[in-house]
Order: sequence, then C-alpha cells, then structure tokens
Amino acid sequence: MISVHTRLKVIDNSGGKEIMCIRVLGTNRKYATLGDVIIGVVKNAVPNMPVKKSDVVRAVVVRIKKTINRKNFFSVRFDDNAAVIIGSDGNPKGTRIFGPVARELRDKNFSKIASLAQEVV
Amino acid sequence: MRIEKCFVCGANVYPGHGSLYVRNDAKMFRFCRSKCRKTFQRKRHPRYLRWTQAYRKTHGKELANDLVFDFEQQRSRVPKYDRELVGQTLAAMKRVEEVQTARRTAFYRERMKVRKHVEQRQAERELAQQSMSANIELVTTAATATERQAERLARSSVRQRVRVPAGPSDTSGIPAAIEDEECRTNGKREKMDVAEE
Repeated sequence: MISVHTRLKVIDNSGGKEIMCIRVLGTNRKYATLGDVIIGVVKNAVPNMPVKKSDVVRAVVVRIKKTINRKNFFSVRFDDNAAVIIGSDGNPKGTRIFGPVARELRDKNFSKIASLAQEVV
Repeated sequence: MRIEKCFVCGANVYPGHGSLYVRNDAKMFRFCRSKCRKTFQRKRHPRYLRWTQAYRKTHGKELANDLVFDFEQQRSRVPKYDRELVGQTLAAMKRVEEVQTARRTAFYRERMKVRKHVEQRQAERELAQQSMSANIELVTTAATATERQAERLARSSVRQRVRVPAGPSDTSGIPAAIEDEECRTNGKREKMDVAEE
C-alpha cells in the first residue's frame, strides 16, 4: 500500500537513494501495489549522478511491506517498500538492481527490471 | 508446486496455505500459520521452543542425522522426462515412505525402552529405601508403605512383576512379597546389564 507521502527506497544505480510518492498513476487510484507506476520526488541522492535531489521522477514499485495474496500460492511480504526509477518509455534509468523483486513485475510488462534483478520472488 | 516445510515448526506447507516472508538478502521464510509467523517476528529461535521439530531433533526426541532424510533433499537440476524414470520414482517413493516409517518407529521404541528402565530404577531405589526404614520401624508402617508402593508400581505399567499382598490380615506374607520383589528386580537388572554389554 503505497500512498501519497510514502517514502520508498530506490534499489537501482540511477543515483536516487530515496523517493517520496506524490502521485499514483491510474484513474482514481489511492494506493499503489507491486508493479504499479508512481510519480515521486527524489528526497535523497548520491552526488554526481544523473538523478538529483528534488527531481520529479517516474518509478515502479518492486517490493512492498504489505502482504499480497497470490492465487494458489503463499501470501508474500517483503522487508521494505522499494522502487526502481524508470523513464517515460518504461525502461529503468539505472543499469543494476539490488535485492529481490516481485514476480508481479513480469505480468505488468516490466520484464527488463525482472531480468536485471538478482532474484525474482 | 512443491510442498514446503515451515521454517519454525517444520510442518508441511501445502500450496495456497501459509505465508512467505522475503528478506532483503532474498532469503525466503515460509510459515504454516500465523502462530509460526508471529513467533518468527518475535525473534524466537525454533531450537528453544518445545513444540517445534528443530527442538525435538536437537534434544534427541526425533530421528535426526539419518540416511532416510537424504531421499528428501531439494535438487536444483531438473531431469529430462523419461517414462521409465517416472515409473521407478513412483515405486521408490512408496519404498522410501516404508523405510522412513520403519526407522522412525524403531527410534521411538528404542527411546521409550530407556525411559522405562529409568522409571523402573527410580521405583526400585524408592522401594529399597522404604523397606530399609520399615525393617527398623513398626511392621504396620511397612505394610502401608509397601501397599502404597505396590499401587504406584501397578500404575507404572509393571503390574505383572509385583505381587500385591492378599489382604490386611495376612501380615506374614508382606516381607516375603518384598523379598520376592527385590529378587525379581535384581534379576531384571542383571539381564539389563547383559543387554547393555
């Protein structure tokens, strides 16, 4: 459950460290879940990298703390809320992704992110 | 679909049941029910909880470090489909199940045997102490003590080996009963020693 004002960890090497959600994309959406696109503002960034502090970026949610129920499978939850910064074409801005990401990304056509990730759960 | 084991209690977790927690280093923890999940969240180690398989195995209450567990190992390499292999595997599964149950039962029986001996020795020691004090003190006290002892022994499933005195009127029979009982238990102990050797 990612809503406006939720802070997410950025797990790629684009330069952002932390973003704050300022909009969930979609009609009348209040909360974002795994594989949803949000608009965020960069709150914390690594110096001398393409993504700067207070940039407004698009990002896709890859890990959430809230339990999600998968059909015919366990209910799954992660350690933190995390996102990957993407461009307007849907491709990630960084070249590496750290830690596990959810399988739901594949269903929502973020297979590039899924293939870059260390582990798809 | 795989039948997983609960991280805390070690029970089987079937598809569609339980929950999965993924840590940031991509290690996965599966839980069979909310009790196990909450236990994990409270950072209780399964080895120190009496109701878990981990506890039972570390304390020698279940079969552990046995060859039968090697059949159940997770293999990362997926074999090619082979009709013959499938048949063999299905036949082997039944046999493995048989072997596992047989070994578990044998382990349980062995464990219970030791327990029986321990209980019996304790009872013998108590009986010896009581009979010693009874010899010095009044006969009536001895009679009540042996009666109580006999009752206790009868309860602890060694009923056949103890002859309960016939009635309160027959006082001459009581010391004989004690002697008889001691002889028998001594004989039993000798037998046990032989078995241990």
